[in-house]
Amino acid sequence: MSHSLRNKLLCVVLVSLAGCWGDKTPAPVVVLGSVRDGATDSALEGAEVIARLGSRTQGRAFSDREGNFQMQFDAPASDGAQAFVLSASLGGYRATSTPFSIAKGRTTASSYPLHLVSDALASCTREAGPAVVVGHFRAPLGQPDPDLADRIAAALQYDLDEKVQTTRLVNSKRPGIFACGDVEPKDPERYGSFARFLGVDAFVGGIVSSPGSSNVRVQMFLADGYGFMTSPSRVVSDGVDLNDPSLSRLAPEAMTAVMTALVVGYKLANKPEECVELVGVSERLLPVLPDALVRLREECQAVLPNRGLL
Amino acid sequence: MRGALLIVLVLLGAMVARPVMAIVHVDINEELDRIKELGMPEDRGKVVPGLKEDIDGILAGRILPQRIPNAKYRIAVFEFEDPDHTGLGSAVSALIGREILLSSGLRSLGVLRYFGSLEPSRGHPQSYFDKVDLVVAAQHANLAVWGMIRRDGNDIVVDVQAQIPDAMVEDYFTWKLTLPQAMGGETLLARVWPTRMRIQRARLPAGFAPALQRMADAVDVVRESPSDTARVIARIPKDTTYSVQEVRGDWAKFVINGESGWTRRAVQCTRECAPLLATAGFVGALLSFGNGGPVPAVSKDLSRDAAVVARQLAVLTSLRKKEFHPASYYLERWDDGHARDFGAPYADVLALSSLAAQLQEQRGREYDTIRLDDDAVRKVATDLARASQDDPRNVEVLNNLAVLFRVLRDERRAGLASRLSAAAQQRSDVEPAQ
Repeated sequence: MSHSLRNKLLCVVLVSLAGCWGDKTPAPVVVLGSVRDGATDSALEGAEVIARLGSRTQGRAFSDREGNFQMQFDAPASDGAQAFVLSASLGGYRATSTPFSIAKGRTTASSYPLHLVSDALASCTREAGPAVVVGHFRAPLGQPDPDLADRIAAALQYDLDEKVQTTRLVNSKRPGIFACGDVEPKDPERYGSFARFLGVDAFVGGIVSSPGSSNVRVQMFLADGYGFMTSPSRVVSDGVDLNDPSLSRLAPEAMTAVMTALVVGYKLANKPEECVELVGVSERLLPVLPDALVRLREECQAVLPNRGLL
Repeated sequence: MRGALLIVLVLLGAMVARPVMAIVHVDINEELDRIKELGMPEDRGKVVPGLKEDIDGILAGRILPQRIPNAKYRIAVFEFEDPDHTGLGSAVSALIGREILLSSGLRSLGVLRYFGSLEPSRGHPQSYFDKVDLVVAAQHANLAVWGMIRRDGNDIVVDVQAQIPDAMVEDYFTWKLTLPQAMGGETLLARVWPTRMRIQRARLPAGFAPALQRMADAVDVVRESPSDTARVIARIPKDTTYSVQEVRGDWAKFVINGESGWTRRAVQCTRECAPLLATAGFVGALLSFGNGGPVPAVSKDLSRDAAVVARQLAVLTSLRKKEFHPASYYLERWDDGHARDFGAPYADVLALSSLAAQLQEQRGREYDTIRLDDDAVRKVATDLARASQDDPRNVEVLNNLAVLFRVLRDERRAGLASRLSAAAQQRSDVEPAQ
């Protein structure tokens, strides 16, 4: 073997070894992201964020005051992209996780937003069927009433059943009313986004205030999850005895708002028959059919297959 | 002499007719529990089927054991829901139930009074109309009344609901028109709707509650003779069956556990209480309509649903008497020329009346050779198609449209109506009854 050939072979071996050793070197990786409340979009501080590869924890960080986190770890060397899982957890919230990839020592996205859902909210999300959620009613100081949401939901269920059960709606599509007294959006303006987040047609909540006497004022707010109402519908009852179970009664205006939200839901779900029938039963029971429902009926009638009969 | 003869004849008639007027008190949830319990596989041999079997039995047309088997008519009156604890739930149902029993004019009527809530529960997820339907169907009741009492400020609001079971509708609240062979010979059908209706929303001053309670208590008092001063011998207990032996003015003679006594009709139920009796009058008249009676009167105290049903029954009455009028006859008289406000079922019965009137004009010709002018049939079909836009899954309307478009040889619209009808029926067939 000539000297030059020996040198050449040595070079090939060294280059190969260098290549191999190069692949085995762990690459430092930085993962950026944020943790926010899924319903309110507010920043969540102190959430623990963990990056895992398989069952091995690779990195760990906590969200700051703005909900942001930054995590740095050495990712195992690999020829291609590696599939990691990023999970976040915080007391009072359901843990969440999302997959992410690292290729050539870099994450495939510049930032990973993580949304946590509070335990109270998570148990109230609905996957199917038209529904209305009755959330928290804030009681006057020193007069807690934990059953209020349940009572209002029961009253609402009757008001709705009385109407819906007289239509041709099939049971599986009938709207349900669910009490979720622990769900407490801070601001009624957020009720619509809560309804959307929960996957329901409308969200009801309220405030019970005591202006000084034994009687109280009940403010009930209702918003649809479709942005149909420009602002939440507000119904006020004055002079209500907090010890009186009839506190749970719903003013007709609130019921009209519920019906409107459900009708919008049927329309957007491309169920014009249900939409028309629900407006029809509202017409039978309300003294005057609100303009919004009249318009919605016309829009649903315009896409009925029955149009072909004309 | 003539008067005495008349009395004898009436008494003889009464004996032959074997009048039965009875009330049974039943706890609805216990009843459902009992039915459910008896429905377990190991209990198949027992008389009362389970809830599921009950529903299956109803759908299959099987006859289930009845609580007042010898009554020709049975009405179920449910204790009114009372979530605000007015204490009037039982009182209102007692007043209405008794008044229906005594004022209907039917000779063989039993009242089943159910106690317990119609709210959905863990054991019974059905609610309100649906729950009532289950029990009513199992008992083959002809009609049911239930309701809700709520406080509203200084008032008490009483919702009175009624529902007519399908079997009753089929027997007494439908009308059919078979077209001549020259028009295809198919049958058109009109069916009264809604069969689940709020009859009344009565508003009473909350301060009237004690008086209403006393009035309800009074109708349960049994006296020795038909007089307010007669000795009280009993109160009509719950969980018992009793029958009415004789009616004398405002008084009725009941036989309870072999002993007889007199109770008075709710004559004290005046002023604020009186609107509640309008419900009893309407329900009693609905029952007697099925027996050939007149159209129920709709007082101002009753709801729009009651008016809608009464309007259809008015046309139905004419049809039964073979008095056929065009739709315009009714619309001009009542509805300012348009039917939409009273719904597709009203438009449907008007459509049949219009066609029947035009067919009647051709009398003298052999019926099966009559073929109405296409323009006339098209006008009826167009009106019905418009009504279908407001009630898109009304099977009777869709079926009738399919027939009429076939008469007009409009296969496209006939096919569409048939498909929509089939789809609506398919959905209602799968409708769970619980």
